[in-house]
Amino acid sequence: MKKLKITFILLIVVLMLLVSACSAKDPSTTKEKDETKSTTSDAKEEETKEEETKEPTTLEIFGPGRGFWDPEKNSALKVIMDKTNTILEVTIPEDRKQALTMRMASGDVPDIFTTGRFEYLDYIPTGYILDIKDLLDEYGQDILSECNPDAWPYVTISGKIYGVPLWNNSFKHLLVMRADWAKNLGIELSNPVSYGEYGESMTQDEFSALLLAFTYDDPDGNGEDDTYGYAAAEDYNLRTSFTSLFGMFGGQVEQYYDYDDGVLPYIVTDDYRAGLNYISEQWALKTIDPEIFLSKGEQVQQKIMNSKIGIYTGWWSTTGTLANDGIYDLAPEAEFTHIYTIGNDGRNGILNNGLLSGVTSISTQSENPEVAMQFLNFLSSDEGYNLAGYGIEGEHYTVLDTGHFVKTALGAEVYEQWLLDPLWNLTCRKDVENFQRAAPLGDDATPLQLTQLVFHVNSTMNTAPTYASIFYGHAVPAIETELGTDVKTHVDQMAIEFITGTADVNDDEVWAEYIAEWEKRGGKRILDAYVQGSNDVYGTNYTSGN
Amino acid sequence: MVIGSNKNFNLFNVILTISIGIFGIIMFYPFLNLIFISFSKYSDIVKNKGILFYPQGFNISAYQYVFRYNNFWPAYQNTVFITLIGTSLALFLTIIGGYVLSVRELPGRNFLTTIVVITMFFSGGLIPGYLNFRNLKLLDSLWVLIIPVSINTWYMLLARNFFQGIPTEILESAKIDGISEVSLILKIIIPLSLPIIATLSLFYGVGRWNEYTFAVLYNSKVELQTLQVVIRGMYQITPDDFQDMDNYVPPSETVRAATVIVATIPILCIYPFLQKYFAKGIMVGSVKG
Repeated sequence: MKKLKITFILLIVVLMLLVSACSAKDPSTTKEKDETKSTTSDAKEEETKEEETKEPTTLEIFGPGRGFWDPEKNSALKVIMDKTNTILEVTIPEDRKQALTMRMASGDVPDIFTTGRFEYLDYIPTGYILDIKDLLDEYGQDILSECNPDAWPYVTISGKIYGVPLWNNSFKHLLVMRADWAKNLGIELSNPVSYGEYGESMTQDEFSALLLAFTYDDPDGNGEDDTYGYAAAEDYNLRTSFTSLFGMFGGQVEQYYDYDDGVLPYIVTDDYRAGLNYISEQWALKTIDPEIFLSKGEQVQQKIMNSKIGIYTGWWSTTGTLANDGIYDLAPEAEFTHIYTIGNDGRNGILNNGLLSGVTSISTQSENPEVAMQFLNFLSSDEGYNLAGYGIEGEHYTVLDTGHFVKTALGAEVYEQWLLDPLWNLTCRKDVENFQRAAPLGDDATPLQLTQLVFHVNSTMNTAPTYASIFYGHAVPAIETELGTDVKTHVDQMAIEFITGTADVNDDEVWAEYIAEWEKRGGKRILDAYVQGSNDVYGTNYTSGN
Repeated sequence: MVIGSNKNFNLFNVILTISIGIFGIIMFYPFLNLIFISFSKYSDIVKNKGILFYPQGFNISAYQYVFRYNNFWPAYQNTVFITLIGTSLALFLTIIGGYVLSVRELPGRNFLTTIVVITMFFSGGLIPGYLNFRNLKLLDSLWVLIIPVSINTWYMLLARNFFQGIPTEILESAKIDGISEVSLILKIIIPLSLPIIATLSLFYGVGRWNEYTFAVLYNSKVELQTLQVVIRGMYQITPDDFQDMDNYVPPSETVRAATVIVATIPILCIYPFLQKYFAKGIMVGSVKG
């Protein structure tokens, strides 16, 4: 019986081995066979080349995670395919990063794919991202003329260009004020916001006075002591929740700058210490929402809708969202304006979210990289951009004598169904064109429309100063992956302690301990790695500061 | 009649009923609140700090947005198809497999059970799975959400254990009467196994209904998306991205509530029909002596 069992097991194992051997392909053999095939059929390819170029080329595109691909519902997509002589197979995966990683790992890479900001750096070692420098020179004239020239260095490594940089609005986290509260308290606004302008600027002292007034002077006139001067309308994050406040003190969290005595992260500098001190003073005065470290963004937005907050930092679209969600039902008198704050020493700025929103790359596996580049170039041309972003003139939109675009009923429907997004999100042209072409609102514009328009346009077109890290776009060193979380935990924890007064930020001994702990957890090693990487890859001459 | 003991008994019942009633309301109220939120105006929700006892500023804009959302109805159909076919296939294979493993006379039963259990601890992984499905031409097809997951070995072992609990005397007496194996399964085993079948159908059904990961990884065509994938997509397209001033999108809070209701109600409706089968089986007392 035992022998029978052993024999049975051995038979199963042999069967499994046979099955797997028969189905497995030897990649090298396959490649050799393919190469042999290709060399022997070169002659035939030459003969049929003329015929083949007339046939549309199939391109598989792994697009950004927005919109729907439906040429039947959006005829502009068919026009694009006709004009580029392509058949497009567009995939808009829900979890783009995971899906693309799986495709790369399995060797089944699409012709064109987009990646998030600097994700492409992770894929370079796979060898699947094509250097498109030569293709750009030959076929990418519209891309080169339309893309932000400042963005190209971020997709170029050692002279190789790994993709088309997709445009990004750098101004994401804006400071917004209840302008009607300022009026209620008799505070003059000398520079109310309007289309194309940034908004109200104020000094640090004026800002501080405003926070106090919004907290203690009953700005909404309801007779209750229920308002706070400042809150963050997003999930708490040290990097973004106090961005404008730290901006008055010369920097932003998680950024590195080149100081006189070398490169340092902002979070170990005296400027940062001064910023923490200012915020802790406001905390002690109770002008900051006491739940700022705990609340979710939606909870804070609800407080704003209930007129509990006077000034908030939020995503650029937050105010438009509040308008859409019905803040004017709860507070018909509400008026909002951008503000930006200037420190007592004249420094100001907000977080720069970078020039890239993503990168569109061509695969080394693509059989038609020239066609892929020509297609991307077409999307950057006036004709292609209009087709991708607005549809067909006369069918989806009409053009007024003023040059503004007005959607037709069909165009509005296509737009509402997000059928115009897939290809439009592959281009590198500025989003601001949308609003330059949109017909301006008339005198009958509702507060909702005005709020939405102002806050989108201004965030797109403003030129307020921003802070950008000198290592923006650089590959994350391995040591940061290993130790970065620990360092960040320490910095975040100590920031809360300093702000709430649990630890005295003005105590030199406490500050020294904070710095020492930062170094002990690996902060200095991470700094050195960034400096070394920058010098090696980008030819800079940085040194680590002390 | 002992009056004193009846009084205590009634009081206890009353206290118990009230306590359980309160507990039930506490458990049920969040779901009820979600229904109210889905039918309410967002500004009224905010005014009441999210606690509602009835819909306020009644409107159905959230449901209109959900039902008109591009690809919502095709995705719903796909999910219904996957749930019905997938659950049926899974039940069939699980019952058959569980029964086979429960037969004590089966040669190599222990070995087969060991092989089955091993598959519970190890899997091929994401990439080998993708390659396997690609080679089998299952990618970009609804069958990739049905066939590879048609047997859950843990459920099969549950079924096996249940079948082992059926008294052998019943089966032997049926065999003495000359019944075939197939008739034995159809006429004796399955009718006695309604509790486990109901349980497994609910487990499988809910699993298929909530399928997301496979649908995201192995299907790239929009027309093959499942309900959960579309719902996820709805959350991404929120009022945070204004590109058109005419393009009103209901507040995400109400849309979320509406999607939860739309996705959950069908399962909730089925559950009461299966509950009676969870009661004690009818085989108790079927063997006398």
